[in-house]
Formats: sequence, C-alpha cells, structure tokens
Amino acid sequence: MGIGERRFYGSLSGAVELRARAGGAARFFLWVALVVGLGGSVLLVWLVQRVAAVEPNSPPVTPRDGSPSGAASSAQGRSNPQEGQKASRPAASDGPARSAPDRERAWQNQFAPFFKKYCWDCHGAEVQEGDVRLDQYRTAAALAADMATWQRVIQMIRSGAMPPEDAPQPNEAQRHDVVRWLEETIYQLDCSQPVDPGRVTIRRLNRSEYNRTVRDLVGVTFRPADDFPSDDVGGGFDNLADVLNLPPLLMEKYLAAAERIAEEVIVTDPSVFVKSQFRFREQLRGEGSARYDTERRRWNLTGAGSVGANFDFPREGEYVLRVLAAAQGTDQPVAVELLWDGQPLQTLDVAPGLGGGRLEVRVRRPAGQHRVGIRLAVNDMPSAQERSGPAERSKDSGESASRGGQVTLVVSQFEVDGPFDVRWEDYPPQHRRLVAVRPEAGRSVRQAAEANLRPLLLRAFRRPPEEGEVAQFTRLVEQAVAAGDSFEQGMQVALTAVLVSPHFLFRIESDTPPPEGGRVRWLNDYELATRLSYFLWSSLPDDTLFALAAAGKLRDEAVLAEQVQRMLRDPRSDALVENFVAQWLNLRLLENVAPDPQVFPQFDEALKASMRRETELFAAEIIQRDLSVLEFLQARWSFLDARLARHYGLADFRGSGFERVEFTDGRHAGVLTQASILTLTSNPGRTSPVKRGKWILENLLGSPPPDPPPDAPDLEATQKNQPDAPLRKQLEIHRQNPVCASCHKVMDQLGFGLENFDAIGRWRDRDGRFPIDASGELPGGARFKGPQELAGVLLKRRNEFARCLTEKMLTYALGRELVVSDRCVVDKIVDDLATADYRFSRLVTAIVLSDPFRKRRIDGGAP
Amino acid sequence: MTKLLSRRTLLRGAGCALSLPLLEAMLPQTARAAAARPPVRMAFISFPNGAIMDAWRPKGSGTDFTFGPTMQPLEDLKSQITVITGLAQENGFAKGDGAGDHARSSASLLTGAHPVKTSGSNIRAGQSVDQAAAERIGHLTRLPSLELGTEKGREAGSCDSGYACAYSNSISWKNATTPMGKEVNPRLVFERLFGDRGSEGVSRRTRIRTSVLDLVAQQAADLQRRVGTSDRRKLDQYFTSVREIEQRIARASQSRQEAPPPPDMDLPDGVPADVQEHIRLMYDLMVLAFQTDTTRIITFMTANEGSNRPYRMVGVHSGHHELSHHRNDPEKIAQLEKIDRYLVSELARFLRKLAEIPEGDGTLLDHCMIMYASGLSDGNRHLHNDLPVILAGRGGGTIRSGRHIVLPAGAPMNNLFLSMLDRVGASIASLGDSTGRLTALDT
Repeated sequence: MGIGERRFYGSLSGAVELRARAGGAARFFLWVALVVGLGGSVLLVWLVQRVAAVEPNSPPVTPRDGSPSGAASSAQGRSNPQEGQKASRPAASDGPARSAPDRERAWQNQFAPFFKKYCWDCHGAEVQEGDVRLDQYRTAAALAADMATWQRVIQMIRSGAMPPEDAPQPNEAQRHDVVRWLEETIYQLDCSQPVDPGRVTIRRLNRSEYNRTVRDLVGVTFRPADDFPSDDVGGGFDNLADVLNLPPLLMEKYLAAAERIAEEVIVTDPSVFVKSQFRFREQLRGEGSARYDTERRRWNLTGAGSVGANFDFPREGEYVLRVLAAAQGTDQPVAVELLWDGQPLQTLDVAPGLGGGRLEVRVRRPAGQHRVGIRLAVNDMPSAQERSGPAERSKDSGESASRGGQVTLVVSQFEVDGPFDVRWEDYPPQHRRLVAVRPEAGRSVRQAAEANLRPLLLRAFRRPPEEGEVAQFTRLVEQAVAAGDSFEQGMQVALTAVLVSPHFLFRIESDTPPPEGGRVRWLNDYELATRLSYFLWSSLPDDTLFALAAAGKLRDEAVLAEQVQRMLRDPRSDALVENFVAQWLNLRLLENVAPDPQVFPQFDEALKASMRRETELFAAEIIQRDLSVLEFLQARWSFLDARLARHYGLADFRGSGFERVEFTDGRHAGVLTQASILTLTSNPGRTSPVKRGKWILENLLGSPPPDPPPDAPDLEATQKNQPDAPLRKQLEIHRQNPVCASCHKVMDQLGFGLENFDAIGRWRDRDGRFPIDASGELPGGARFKGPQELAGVLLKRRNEFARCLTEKMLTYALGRELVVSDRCVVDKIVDDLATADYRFSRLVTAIVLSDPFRKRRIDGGAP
Repeated sequence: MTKLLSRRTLLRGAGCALSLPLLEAMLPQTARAAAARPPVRMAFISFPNGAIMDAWRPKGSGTDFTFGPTMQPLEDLKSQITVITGLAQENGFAKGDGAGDHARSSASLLTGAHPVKTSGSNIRAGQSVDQAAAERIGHLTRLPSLELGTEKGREAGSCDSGYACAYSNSISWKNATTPMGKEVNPRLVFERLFGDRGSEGVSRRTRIRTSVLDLVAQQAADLQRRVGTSDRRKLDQYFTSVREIEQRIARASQSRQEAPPPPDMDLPDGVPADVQEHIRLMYDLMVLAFQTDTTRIITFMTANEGSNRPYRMVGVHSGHHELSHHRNDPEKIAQLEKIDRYLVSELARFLRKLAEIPEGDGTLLDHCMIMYASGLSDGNRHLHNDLPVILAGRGGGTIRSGRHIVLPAGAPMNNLFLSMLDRVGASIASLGDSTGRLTALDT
C-alpha cells in the first residue's frame, strides 16, 4: 500500500535499537530510526489538537520515548486514536466499511497465518530477534493495543526490509494486504463512520502567494516578496499553516512592501505617467538630400528633403514635440520647419555650431499615427533624383555634406511627450479601480473613501467586509487628508493598512459553530472560494468565484467541479507547477545542485535552467491537457530546447525555443528520465543509485526508507577496498554489510534502472571502463532492465503512486500535514482516480470535493 | 542635517582589505557622548557540521597554550581570543528522538533547549541567548538585533530526518515557537541597517506608519478573541512583530539623535554567487552595524546546519556534510580540516577589522564578545558535547582573553551565555538548561 508514515503522521519521536536477523545465523543491530517514534507522533498530532482545545496556555506535549523497547510510547499510543475519533464524529462521509468483527475474522483467517509463516521463525517463542516477539497476539484487538510494535512491523514490511533476503518472501499483493490491514487495525480506522475533516490553522500567505495575490489584487508589476526571508518548509511544502511563522523581520518587510505597492499603484502626481516617445539615429527616416552618417550616427540634410519619424498619438490632446538638431557650415541661425505629416507646422531657428540645440513646440494634436519631421525652411526645388525615394545611407555623406560651405542641418533625435492634459482614462487601470471615486461637491472624503474601499476590502480580505470594518480604513484616509495629504495620498495610506492587515496576510476561517450545532461545519462560500483559488492559483479568487460565492452557489458540487475545470485551464494554474509540482518532485532543489566542473565541464547555469523548464513544461502539459497522472511515470514525450536535445543526443531537433518532442529511442519514461530529476539525485561527480532509488521511494511510491544510522559505513570505504569494481559492484559489496542491506536492497535496485543516465542526465552505455548494467530486482521478484522497464514496474504499482501523489497534493491543498483520519479520504480519492483513467483534473476535483477541503472542525478555538 | 563624512569602503572581492578609519565626526552622537565607555556588543557565529577536533583543540591550557592547525589564522589575534573546551549542548542529543542531529544541533546551539521533533505542526525549541539579550537591551539601538546567514532555507523536500526545516535554518529564536528568520542578501541587510533615514518625508512616514500599525494591531487583538489556540499563536507572532516596529518608530521619533549617515559600500544586487565574497560581505556588514552602534546583537550562520556546499576556494570539491561523515578516512579528514581552517580564517579577517577600529580607549574588538561555535563537535558521530567554541574580544574589559579554558566535560554552554548576558547588561537568572554562571570567564 505504501504510505509514508513519516509524512502521514508527523514524524518520529523515538529510535529503537532492534536486533534483527539476516543472512542465516548472523546477528546484527538494525537501527530503525523511523519506526518506534510513530506511536508518539500520532499521539503528538492528536495531543496538539486536543491540548490546544482544552488548555490554551499549556505547551504542546512532547512524547519522549527513551526506552529502547518503545514501551512508553506504545502505552501512550494506545488510547489516543480512540480519543481522536471521538472528537471527529459529526461529519458525514462514507467509505469502505471495515468493522471490528471484519478485522477479527481477517486476523484469524488470513493474517495470523501470514505472520506465523513469515515472521515467527525469528520473532517467536524461541528466538526474539531485536527483542521483537510477534507470536503472542491472539486477537486483532490485542494487536491494536500494542501500536508501537506494529508500526515498526508495518514499516519493515512495507519498505521490503523484512523478511530478510534469505527467508521466504511474501509477494507484492500479500505485502500490500497485510500492511493495509495492520494500519486499519492499529489506527482503528472505520471509514464507514463520519471522518474528522481536520482543522487548518490560519494561514499566512507565503512568498509566492503574496506575489501572486498583490499582482491580482492591485496589479503591481514587481514581485515584492522576492526580498522576504524564505518560508520554512514542513512536510515537503512551504505552505503549511502551522509552519509559516511571522518574525519581526518579515513584518518589517510587509510594511515596506505595502508602502511601495501603494506608491506604485495609486498615482499622486499625474505627470509621472505622461508618456515620452523617442526615435533615435537609425530609427529616423530621411528623404531627399538627407543622408545618414553611419560613423557619427546622425542625419545630414543639405537641401531639399526632410528627416523624421512616425509617432503614435494615443488621443487628441496637448503634446510637446522635440528635435535635437544643429546647423553646420554657417555662423547664422538657420530657419527650419517642423513638419506634421509632411506639412509645415511651425518655423523655428536652429543655432549655428556643432552644439546645436533642442527645438520644442507645445501644440494640440489629433489622435493617430503621425509623421513628425524637420526640413530646412528655405530650400530649392529638389532634384528629381533626390525626390525619387528614401535616402540611401552612405558612409561618406558626412564629408560631402560639409563640402563647399553648404549649410547642413544635423539631426539625431525626435521626441514626443504627451498628452499633457491628463484625463481619467490616462490613469493606469489599477489606479482607476482603486480610486474610482473622488471627493467633490456633495461627496465627502469619507463617502468617497468608503466607495473605493468597500470593493477593495472584499477582494483583499476575500470576504465581504464586516460591520465597521470599512470605517476603520476610511478613518485613515480622513486623518491623512486632515493632516494635509491629498485624497490620493490618503488612499495610499489606507491601501498600505489593508496590505499589512492580519485579514489580508492571513487566510482566516472562522470558528463560529454552525446553527445546527456540532463541532464540524461546512466552510462558507467565501472560505471555499479562497481555498480553491489558493490551491489552484496561489492567489485570491477572481471575479467569477466571488460572484458565485455571493450567490451562494459554491456549495453545489457540480458548480465546484465546473470551476475546477475552468481554473485549471486558466493561465494562473501555472502556480500548481511552480509551487506544487516543483516541491513534490524536489525540482526546487536543482538550484543548489553543483556538479563537479572538473567532471562535467559542459554543465552550466543555462543548461540547469533548461532542465528545470523541461519538467515545468512537462507538468504544465499534463495539467493543461488533463492527461493521466501516470504520464509522470510513463510519458514517451517531453519538451526540449536545442540545448537539451543535444544533451539527450537527439540529432534531428530543429526547434527554436521549447517544443514538444516524442521519443522513439526507448530511453525515456516520464520524469524519471528527465535531466532535472537525474541531476538533483546525483552526487557532484557521479551518479547515486541510492539517491535515485530513495527519490523514487519518497516521491513516487510514498514509502520513504528509514534514516541511515549516523555511523553507517559509506560507499567510499567500499570503493577504497575494491577500487577496480564498477559502481554497481561496489554497491553490492556495500550491501553485504547487513546493517545496510535491508533498506539498500530496495533503494539501490530502483536506482540501478536509471544507471544509463549519468550524473547530469545524459545517456551512456558505459561508465568508465565498465558497461552499464541497468537491471534490478525488487523484493517480491519484480525484475526490470533499463528505464522503461523500471517505469513498467512502477506502473504496476500505480495504486501506490496514486496514493503518494494524492497525499502530497492533499497536504498542499489543505496546508496542513495529514493525520490518521485523513486516510479514509485518501483511500476514497485513490479509488475514484482509478475509475477515471487517472486524469489530473479528476484528482483535483476529488480533493476539492472531499470533506477536509470543504469542512472544518471548530473545536480548536472557543474556550 | 549635518553632512557627515562618508567613507569609501572597498568591500568586494577577495583580499580587498576593508579599512574603516573611524573619524570622530563619523560617529553617531550617542557613541560620541558615550565614548568614555563604549557599549559591549555580542555576536554569535555558527558553522555547520562540527569540526575535526584534533586539529581544532589547542595544546596547553590557561595562558600557556598554542593553537592547533585550524586556529592558526588567529595567531596574530591570540591575545584577544579565549578558547573554551568542554562545553556541551546536551539537548542536542537524541534523547529518544532518533536521527536528526543536525537539526537538533542548530536548534539547541543558542537555546539550550531540546527541539520538538516535528516536520511542521508544532515547532518548538526555546528562546535563544541573543533574543534574551534583545528583549532587555534591544531598545537601546535602532535595530534590537540582526540575524544573518548565507543560505536561505531549503525549499522542498525534508531537511533532516523528520525535523522541520526551521530547525536547521535558524539559530536565533525569538521565543520557543518563533524562529527569527534571517537575511541572506547583503544589499537588503545594508538597507535594513542604513535605509529609511535622512529623507524629507520621515515625519510624514512616521505619522502614517503609526496610524497604520495602530489599526492593524487593533485588528489582530480583535481577532485573537475569535480564533482557536493554534491561530492565536500565529496572531501572537503578528502582534509582537507589529509592536516591535511601533516601539522602534516611537524611539526614533523621541530621540533627538541623528542617525549616522549610510556608509558607502559597494554591494551586489542579489545574493553573491561566490561563497567567499558572500561570507566577507556579511562580516563587513557586521563590522558596520557594530561600528555605527545600529545594533549590539548579531547572529550569523556561515551556512545552514547540514550544509553540503563545497569550498572550492580551498580546493574542496565535495560537499561539506557528505565529507563530515568521514569514517576516519584521512583524506576526508584532511579536506574537512581545510574547511574548518578556511572558515576560521574568514573569522580572523572579521576580527582584525574590529581590532583596527579605535573606540574609546581601545578598539571595537575590545568592546565585543564574538562567539564562534558549532553545535556539533564530531560531525561523523554527531556528538553535541566537547563543542568547538571560540570567544573573541574582551567584552569591554570584563574578559581576560588570551587563554584556553578547559572545562570539565559536559559543562552547559548556556552557563557561558548567562555570563555573556551579564556583560551586556541583560542579566537573567537562567536560560534553557543553564545551571549557573561560567565563572572561569571572569578576569
């Protein structure tokens, strides 16, 4: 079944030294760093919630398991799930029914014999390897009473660490079934009962959410949060409510960012957006005698003809036209005519000498594309030849122009500024939205401010403003105006306050009990719209969602499902790639990867950027085209640019930029074979089958291996003894050490399947002197050779993959770590996904329609 | 506003010595007024992954000792150095929590608290020594404290064996549940230190900020009454942070002192790609912060705990953390010694700058207590006792430096902290697992 308990239940809080057996009679100590703490962790999750509810001032309880046998945590662990269940009854949900009698029957008929067959030889009456004895449990209930022991058992069976290699092995299906049954039994999950939807702490916007929210709220063009301190990651994601802190440094940044945003989006001095348009040198066009001096980069006009450029006049209004020009070959001012579409507009004098000057006229002009030009005021009739077409550019024209004492008009630049008579429609749209109403006769500052702030607060706080709330902000405007500020400056103050308000920085869901009573309530429409938009867009709801919320339609499942489809198609769903996928696949870690330049001189930042882009575009394609999530494992296509195509050895790539490519070389399988993933799971100088295998276990199969003991011998020690062996052989030698074997036999084997790719993701058939052997075999007998067969093995375990992805996405969507009771929800979503060809949008929809997404427990607050 | 002298300080690039001749005119008025007795400043600098203790440990004790190879770069500063051997952060040990010693070592280093093992939901360590000081003397300077680093947090995956990343990324904890967060961008540090001053609109901005913060603090207080416990914890952080800025504004507008002019400093736009340049810029900013008395309390993580960066400038191309599990391989140990020594050499460069700045009747370094330490001694075995600890500076004449103090094994690090707090005027009865003062420090 493959659920990563570590993620699922919080983390461990205990370690145990457990003697186990491998390789016949050999005895060794197997450190299982993960396992025993689980009892404590489950306890911890529950306790934090329970204690928080009961005793506001008491510190969270930390279970400590100091005893090697784990007895303490098992004793504690016993009572808590039940206690948690009590707290989580009221919501309605259905799921596969597995009652207590069912579990007992299964124990007698199926699982007691399983443990007898596979475990009792070493963990029975005669031998108790690792002080673990499993033959004394007569009923499922007895087993459930010893949670700590059986959590350890689950971990060992799931990861494949037990039974040891030389013992009889259960097959995959048996492992799956026994793990599932054990989990249901010890956590006493009963999915037929209403399930606790959980409770999400108020959630601070993280950096990405802040950037996107202010972009969508007030239309800022910069990314203020890029200067904020990084958000802490918990459970693999940087959007978990409990993990996001707000130290003083961050508050300082919030305030400064709010001030900067208010200054940018509300215009206090309209002259700042009078537009200037410039045309320089080569951008100008000459006619007649005009010649371009390419050396001095200027136009020379010696007789008939003109120099000019086209400008865009956005509307009828007042403009300033400017020309930089000089007169040569004379000591008198030279009269010139400014031309408007070829017709004289005004006559001006150009001062003699090289310095020249700036000619300027301020005139009302009509809208449209118009040509502004200049010519000598007194000119002979141009010759036919000169009139015949655009001037040619010649290098020596500068010389010829000054020949013979002829007057030369030198022109280098045109400029058009305006319109100067600023009108409402000239203001940027964000200003017009924020300051739509100004005070005037019959409308006070307060009334105007209120008219502007009411719609702003609705969007900024993602709910209709409460009684008196608007007034709090209008008062700021009034105070500012009273102190001498303009109305616009006052609105800047109010906007600043909105952007540092807790109602903006936090997503707050109220703990108001439902009218019908009970401790679980449905989210209201606005809360739901907000969860939806931050899940899929990392930003605030758009007008459509707000309108649906106002109409009370989001409780309709059909409407919700429809919105999911719409939102996934919207470009803003790129947030799912940037924030969800990039963290799920650890893509963000690529930034810190530094392959050894001596081994990989061809690696550089540009290649790294292309690698990352490939995976982003790949994921975006799955989302946008609503493909099967199994494509992450099996796709024979991807997006490449020329650099990556070379990197992958595709000679016939002819694209510019990134293009979708179908692979036919039998080497590629989804993200597994993308250079980004292959690189970030490698060591600086060589591949690491271990890291690659671990990455697959953690991120695709959801069963992270336990941590290694701190003093585990590493590969280099082996390498030193066997310098002539290929990497694969060295790893095999390493695994002969029983301390390492139980976990590495899974990790390494998975990683071997990708050995055809070097540490920066290029295909290879040899590693130095040794031919690549990309074959592997997993406990339970699944064999494979090469990346596509490895993907095939993973595809057979699609249920584990779907479960892993579901858990990750549910964590991300809820902004909290999953707890025991979420398992029923995950089960249901995974089953649902399988009936819908694993389409991406089905996964998202199932999460959105789930209880934890649409409801909340409200016992966390009220005293 | 008096136009004060500005310095051109060339800070970028390797080997470019920063010389900051401190002219009296460049001193802020408070510092001038108090020149007779300059304030004591304290910095806590951490380095990750422990040290090779054989090369670290000095030979001899008391005033009669010689540096081991790692501390050679400090030779010319020996009279300012107090090496302390034997200190422990017992709460860094697993105590039944299993793997995760790196996370525990950074979380316990300045707190003496045993961090709660959680990947998110209830982060908890303890208040750190710098924040205990900031709480008491932070109001005396423009910034109560400064938190610096060179690596931002890990942005995906997990950090260390089920511990939330906050533990590995922070040594400074405002209180048990709020890691301070740190600044890694030198330009932004500079702006925090010296921005926001001298411009025309200060009084208007003060008025606006005051009214804005008043309002939002009120909103947070209203919310407090309506939400659950875990929510309240978040709002507490919000509330505390708002209050802190409000107090800073109030202090600034009350005091008649003029802020010192921003010094001249060449700073890259973003985070420097070059590790050496990055570390040096951070140290240089620390010099400026102390010199201008903008803050008296700084923490600096030369790298996040468990950092796996290579140190190519000294020929180390493998990752620091990977190397630290050396299994007694002499080649790896040699590489690690190079890293240890390199980081000490950057510390020495920093200390030398402090020692070059005259202040009162001595130098700036005389009035500092710079602690340099790791929360691990043996990174291979993840030991949290016998920690590598250097204390530099004379603490305003309260520390008899130039000694190697050898303590009985297991002496609590937090006892040292209590003694340091005494010296900055922030005495407290206990902190974390302290059992008393470290009297060996006294002159």
